[in-house]
Amino acid sequence: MSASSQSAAPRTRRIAHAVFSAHHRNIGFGYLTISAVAVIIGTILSWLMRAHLAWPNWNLPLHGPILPEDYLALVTMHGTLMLFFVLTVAPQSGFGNLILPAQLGARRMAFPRLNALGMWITAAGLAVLLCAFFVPGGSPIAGWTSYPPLSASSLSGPGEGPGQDIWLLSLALFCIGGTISAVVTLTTIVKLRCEGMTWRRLPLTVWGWFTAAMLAVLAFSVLLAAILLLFCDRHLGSAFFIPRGDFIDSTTILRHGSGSPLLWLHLFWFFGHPEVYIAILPGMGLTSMVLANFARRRVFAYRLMIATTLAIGLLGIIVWGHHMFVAGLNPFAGTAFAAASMAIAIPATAKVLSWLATVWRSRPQLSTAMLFALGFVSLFVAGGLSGIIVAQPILDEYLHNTFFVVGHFHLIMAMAGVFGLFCATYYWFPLLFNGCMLSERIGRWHFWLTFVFAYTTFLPMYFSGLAGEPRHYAQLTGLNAPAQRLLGATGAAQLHITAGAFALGLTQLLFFFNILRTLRTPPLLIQNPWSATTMEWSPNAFAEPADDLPAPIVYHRPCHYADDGLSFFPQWLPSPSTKEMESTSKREPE
Amino acid sequence: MPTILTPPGIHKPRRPGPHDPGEGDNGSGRRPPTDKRTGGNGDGDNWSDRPQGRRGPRERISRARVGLFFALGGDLMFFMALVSVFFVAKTSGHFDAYSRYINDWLPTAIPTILWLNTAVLLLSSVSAEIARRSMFRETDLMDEWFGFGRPTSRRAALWLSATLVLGALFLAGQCVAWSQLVSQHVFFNSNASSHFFYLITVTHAVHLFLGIGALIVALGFLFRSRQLASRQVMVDATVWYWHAMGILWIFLFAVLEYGQ
Amino acid sequence: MNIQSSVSLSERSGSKDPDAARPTPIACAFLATILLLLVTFATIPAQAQGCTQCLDSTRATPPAVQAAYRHAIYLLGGAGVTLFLAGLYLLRREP
Repeated sequence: MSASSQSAAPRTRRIAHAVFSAHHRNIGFGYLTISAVAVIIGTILSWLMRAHLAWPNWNLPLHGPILPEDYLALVTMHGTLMLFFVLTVAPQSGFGNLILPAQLGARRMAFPRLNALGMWITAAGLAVLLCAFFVPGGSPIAGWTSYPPLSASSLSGPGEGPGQDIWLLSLALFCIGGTISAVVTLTTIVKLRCEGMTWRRLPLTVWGWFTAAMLAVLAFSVLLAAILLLFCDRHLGSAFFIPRGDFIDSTTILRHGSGSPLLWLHLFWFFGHPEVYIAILPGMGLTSMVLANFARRRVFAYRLMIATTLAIGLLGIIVWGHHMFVAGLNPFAGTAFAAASMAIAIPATAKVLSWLATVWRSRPQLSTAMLFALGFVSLFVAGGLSGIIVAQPILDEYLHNTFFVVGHFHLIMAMAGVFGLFCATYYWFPLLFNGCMLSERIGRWHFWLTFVFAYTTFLPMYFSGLAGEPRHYAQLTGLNAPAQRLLGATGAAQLHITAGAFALGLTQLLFFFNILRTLRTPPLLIQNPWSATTMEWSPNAFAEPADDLPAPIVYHRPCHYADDGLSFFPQWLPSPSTKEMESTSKREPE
Repeated sequence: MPTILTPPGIHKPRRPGPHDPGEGDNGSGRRPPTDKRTGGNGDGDNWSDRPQGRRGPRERISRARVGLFFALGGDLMFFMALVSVFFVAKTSGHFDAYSRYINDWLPTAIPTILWLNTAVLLLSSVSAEIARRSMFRETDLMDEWFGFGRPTSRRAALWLSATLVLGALFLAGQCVAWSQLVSQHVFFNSNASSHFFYLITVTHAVHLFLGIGALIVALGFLFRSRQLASRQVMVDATVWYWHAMGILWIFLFAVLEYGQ
Repeated sequence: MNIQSSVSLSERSGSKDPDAARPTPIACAFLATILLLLVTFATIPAQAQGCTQCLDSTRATPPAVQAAYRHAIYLLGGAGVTLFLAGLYLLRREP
């Protein structure tokens, strides 16, 4: 697969080789391409939503006025694209495939062809989903959560016919592809670590990928089961989720048996909650490593950070009911889920404190990657604190389905997750592209504008949500008096948010410009520009396996920097002061 | 054995005398070929000195087993979801005009052929295990290593074929069960319990069908693959999957038979 | 040499895996999560929060259905947690 052996081959053959190869680098870039396509389309959809909320009477060119069902279709597709194909694929599968083997000292992922199959299945899932725009009836309108009976019958609205079936098929493919990718990731981490890479020496990024992959293996199958059951309800006359005698569009749905939508909610959110942790855990791991690296400090309480990553993963499996507080869940069950949800705040807070302690009173090098890592911490706190609020059922009674929840998950998952992705790009760009470094100047502009506009867009959502602004409502104009009062209270905020959203989206053009510009410059071939300690920066980390290359060996834990702030001890070289490490850390050499 | 915790550069004292007696030629000037990939050779085994990733087929098989473990874990969650829905649906009902709660669960009588199918599947697990163990029999492996034909593959192919036949019999039996129910006008959408009967048995049958596909591929590997390690890994992985499907079937059958 | 000192350390502990003698981070994670679970589920006797609508709909649900949902939650959640912990336990002995 090396370029030199194929430079004489025709270009099309080279491209075909690259596209269909089972090399993890190509697979990683394939996943990132899937995410790039999804994020662009998802952003455009969000812009249409925001434009409609700010100016309800605006006519979409070539379409006409955005009707409420069109708005719901936008909501559904935006959520599905962003959450599944951007926030799950890019951090876990995209950057995982690119960087994980190198961080382990491995030369490849386990099961390369299975890995490639997973990527192609995910790509097929995206392709199928995008077809939903073009089928008769259009995209589904049931939200990314697809609650029945809205999603269980094609009578319940436009887009609920073929559109919903397309959505189900797309997500079924995604589940299979995601499970395959997670199995490959887990096997790689367990089995393909190089010599000396014990569990305690694994970088926290790898722990993040590991926990996210464990959650993925457990959660995606349950979603697949739920999709199968919903499909049976839609087409095979069953009644898993449809109550007896349900009346939809002047038709009584006659089925044998009596189902309950609450069943779907249980199954979906059993998947849905681990899903959002899959989106954020890799970013959390990367933030620890990047903060430590640019502050030239060790990660504060490294083993506790490993434990908190696992704890967040474990607790994430038993908190799914907090999405269902107002769905008719037994309040006693609600209390149990609420307690577990608030318990997650403990390891999450430990992580935040560790991040802060890592950089406390250091003089960090504020590279763009560092800025995005700090931005991650900020957004994680801003979004996370509201999570503890909505974790309480009595508060969620009021706040459920308001913009408060929208603000919460956009700040903590969308923005923090995306900041993790930006951090990863700026940090690992030289590794992936022959030492080319993205421009720091443009990067700083990109960071600050994105940071400011992220808060501009999503922080006011807290306030409009507290005022009562509901989610999924296409507009408040043209309704009765209470709605008009609500509109008066929140209309200004909506304009503000829309302006912020447009600015936020347009700022990302800077990012793409930065990438394109850097790719055109000749490679600098700097091997370890950030003076990092983890294995992916070692020489020959990305070289093809060859017999004359020495096998990588790990000598100690990552993030070991000298006190002078200049020298550092990478994992792949023996530290000259192991004895010193022993005495200072009062335990065996790590 | 955490051999990779050995700090590098440790000078392990080599025994004096003839190095690697298993690989020595005893002065004959010629020695039998050693397969460096297996890490075999008895006393001459130096697998712990070799870098990780080059220590032999145990690594490959371990990798396959770990991957299969995680995949089966996910699969188990799939069936757990179905079983959870089963238990909730069992008590579900509706309120009639007099506000009385009517639980309209009518258990579906399991066709008795399912007992026979279960026995067939258990037998197929037994034959699969015999096939798997025959891939690891030391005497046969040594014969094969020496080049005396492929006794492991022959034995394993025999027992895998038996497993294949029994598995196909199981699937045929399931089809018979379904046709029996259909002839009694119990379809998928007849009532709540029949939803589950068909759903559970069909999804299990789909998984078993994939298992049969894997068996066929394993048989193909036995005849075509030139690497002993590949054959071992393939048969091992397939048989473990088969066992998992068998154990799962026992659990699902118990749910259908006694849980309704 | 420092490498020697690390060798002597492992030899001093009887050439056993030095990590095995002390609680590993994964063991700490076990204990911590068990404690957390105890803490969280000790709150169940607490007064259930919820609006009157949820309480009404719960009272209108027959006890059998309530029990079925409870059992299903335990089954699904328990299966997930068991698989997660089993995975960690089986993997902790990997080198």
